[in-house]
Amino acid sequence: MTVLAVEGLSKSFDGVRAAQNVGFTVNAGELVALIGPNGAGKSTTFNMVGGQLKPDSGRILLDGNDIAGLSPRLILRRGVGRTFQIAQSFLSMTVIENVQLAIAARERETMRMGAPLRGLHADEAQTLLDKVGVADQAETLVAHLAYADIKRVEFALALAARPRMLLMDEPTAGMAPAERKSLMTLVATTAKTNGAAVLFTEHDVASVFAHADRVLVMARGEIIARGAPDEVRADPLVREVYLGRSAGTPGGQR
Amino acid sequence: MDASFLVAQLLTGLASASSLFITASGLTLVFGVTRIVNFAHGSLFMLGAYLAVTIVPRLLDLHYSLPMFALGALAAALIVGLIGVAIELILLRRIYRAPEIFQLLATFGVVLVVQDLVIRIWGPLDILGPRAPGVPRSVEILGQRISGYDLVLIAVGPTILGLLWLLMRRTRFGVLVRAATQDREMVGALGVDQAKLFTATLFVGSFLAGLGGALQIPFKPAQPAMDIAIISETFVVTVVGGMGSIPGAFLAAIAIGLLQAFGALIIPESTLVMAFLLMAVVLVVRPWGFLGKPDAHLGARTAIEGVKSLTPLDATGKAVVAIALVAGATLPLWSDAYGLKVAIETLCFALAAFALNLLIGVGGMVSFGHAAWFGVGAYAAGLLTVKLGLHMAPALIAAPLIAGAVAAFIGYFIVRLSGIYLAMLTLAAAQLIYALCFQWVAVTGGDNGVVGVWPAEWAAARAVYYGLTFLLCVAAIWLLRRAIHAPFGYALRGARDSHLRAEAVGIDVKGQRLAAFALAGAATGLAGGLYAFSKGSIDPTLLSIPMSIDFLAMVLIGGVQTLFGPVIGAGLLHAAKDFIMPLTDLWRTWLGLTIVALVLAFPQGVLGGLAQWRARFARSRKP
Repeated sequence: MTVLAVEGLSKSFDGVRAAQNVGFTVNAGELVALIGPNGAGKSTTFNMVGGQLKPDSGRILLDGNDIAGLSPRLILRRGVGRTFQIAQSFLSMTVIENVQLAIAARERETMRMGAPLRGLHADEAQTLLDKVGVADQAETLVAHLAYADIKRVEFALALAARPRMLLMDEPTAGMAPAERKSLMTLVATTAKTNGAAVLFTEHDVASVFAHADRVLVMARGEIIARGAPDEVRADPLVREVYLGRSAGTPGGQR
Repeated sequence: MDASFLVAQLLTGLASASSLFITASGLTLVFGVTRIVNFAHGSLFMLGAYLAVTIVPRLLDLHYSLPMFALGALAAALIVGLIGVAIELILLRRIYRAPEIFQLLATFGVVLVVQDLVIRIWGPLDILGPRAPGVPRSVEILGQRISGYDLVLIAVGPTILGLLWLLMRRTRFGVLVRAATQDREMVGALGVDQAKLFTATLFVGSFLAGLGGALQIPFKPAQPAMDIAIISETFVVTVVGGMGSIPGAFLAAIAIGLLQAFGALIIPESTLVMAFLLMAVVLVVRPWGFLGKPDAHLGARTAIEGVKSLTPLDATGKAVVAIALVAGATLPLWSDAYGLKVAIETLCFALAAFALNLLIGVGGMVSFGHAAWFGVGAYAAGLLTVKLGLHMAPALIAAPLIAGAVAAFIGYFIVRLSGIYLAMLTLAAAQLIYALCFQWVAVTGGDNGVVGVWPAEWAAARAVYYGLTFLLCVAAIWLLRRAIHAPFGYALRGARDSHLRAEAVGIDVKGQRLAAFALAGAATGLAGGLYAFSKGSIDPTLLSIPMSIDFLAMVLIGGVQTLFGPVIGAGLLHAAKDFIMPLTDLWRTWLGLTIVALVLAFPQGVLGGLAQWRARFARSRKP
């Protein structure tokens, strides 16, 4: 079942086309990787889907409803959770408070001025922390966590919204290889059990080919290749984009 | 109203625009390079005026001519430029990387010191300067008499603009200034001696402030309050023009000069209000001003380390609070009437400071006009009682409601901004309300305010009124603390920690901040209302800039990282004021130096410093 369908998405900055006519779909339970060299337009595409950027044109259909141009908050309310490339958690709070706040926000309780947050949604938050594997650090300040654990908190914050769709911008950047693998396995399992769709960008190609069900390759603002990891790996255009013409294309010395 | 009259009005407006531009160009230049909003710029302007009224007459005694007048003005400006260099070397250099709130506060410390200095040297009375020789008193244009000196000023402004343009385009200094205005880090990385560049910039900026002050002596006397008056106006000009943009400042000065000249024709009392209204409108429509550019670095530094993780009170904390509550509740039994008076005032300030820290420490919004809500509460209570004959109880209910409503209305504009722009807009909003209270004499009593704001009969006894104040302030602080521990406070803090994440988990950041503004405004309004009844009168000083600074100093002294720091800060500052003020004429100097010392030595405040010291002590004792 298609959760996210992006059609003809374009965005320019001062005449520079950061994304043009981008289109793809992501199905429930599926992990789709968006890769490409620096400046290919991955983040632009991502931020348009997440609402951080307003597209110039195109449609972003979530379960058939157009969410293009909505604010991040409204997009979240439609069921899109996201993590950021540079971790954005609430640094002055403990791990569990981070998740409790995210749940309270989902439940529209942020104007409540009475009972303390301390006891609110503590069980649900604890369950989420168990799931992402930082339960033993629940009472630690996020600012004091190791970076890999902050990334896990990020994941928990995205899950707190009970999303239909997860947007993960470089979910494993800055992590050691073993940690990458365990986090991506966790993401994949979660997506399969919850029936959520996952779109992620990733620099670490090993992660991409190990965990993605499908891969989209962007270059110069366009999607130049798509398909199963193996197909994409074999695609001469992709080799050219990453490795340059001479090395990538057989007989490239034309 | 015929055309020639309008022309005359136009020329008057242009003359004041020109004069304003000279001073404002210095502030915007300094801001562009150093990213410091120099509150002391108004003090430099004032020093320029005082030096000019001292130097120029002596030179005119030697030779009565226009060149001598000009020479005197330039000499005054030159000395002010050197004073600016001294300020840079001693103070600014140490705070370039500090959060904006500390920079504004530290430079305001300089304002306080200079105020005392000026009174000590030149006395409290206005000093009129000489007229410029050879400039006709008035010139007839289209049958209207125009001041000759106005025409001179109209010429000087664009001349300065031209000279600055040459300086910026044709000299190495100018190239560096422009580069630094665009990207300070890069200029440093390229190996430019930043220290020298900043010192030179402060010289030019201060010179312009001094010149602005020196050139106005023929029509405005040098007087001790002129620093605050000019600084608010120059703030408006720099913000409206775009921070760091000199041509922008020129356009903004003209817009404000004309607006004031013609606004005064329609509503004579509106001159002060006009400027701030323009600023509010411009900031909402074009948040970066006429010619300003969005600056990614701006606001990044705003992230002062505010309130950290909240924990329920530990045993020691509970004991301290219990002792404080018992001591407070039993105060009438063991204190004299004077002690009760001081205690009432301290409680009002403590509530206001606690509410301010809801914005700064929890919300990360550095509000520079907190006195506005205090004053609105006081005026609401006072005017309702005196003018409408309301009783105390309903007036005290109305005070927080009205202050909260006004704070919500103004907050609607404020929460769109962040960092230094937010600070400037809060300052402007407070000045707008100040101007209203100051100029709308018929309702507010203007400068004199309103007297006869007495409590109801049942609360007239000092001890009873103290009890009422104690109860209401403690209850309000308790409620605010509860809100901070509730999802509301966490969401507000979350928006401070990460705007991106807050929005992405579904927090309406603007809405959250707006609610915080209204809440803080209401609490502060209650404090203001209680204060008004304790004093028996209201006047515009209650919502003046120095009052806002007092609140900031309380928060700073107590520390922004702790919830109860500002309460302690209020106690310390008020007690110190009460104790030291009668002993010395130099109260402002002491307060100013204290603020500067605090910014330099204890940026975490007293409670914050204490907590840090305790943590270090505990760590060193661990094996």
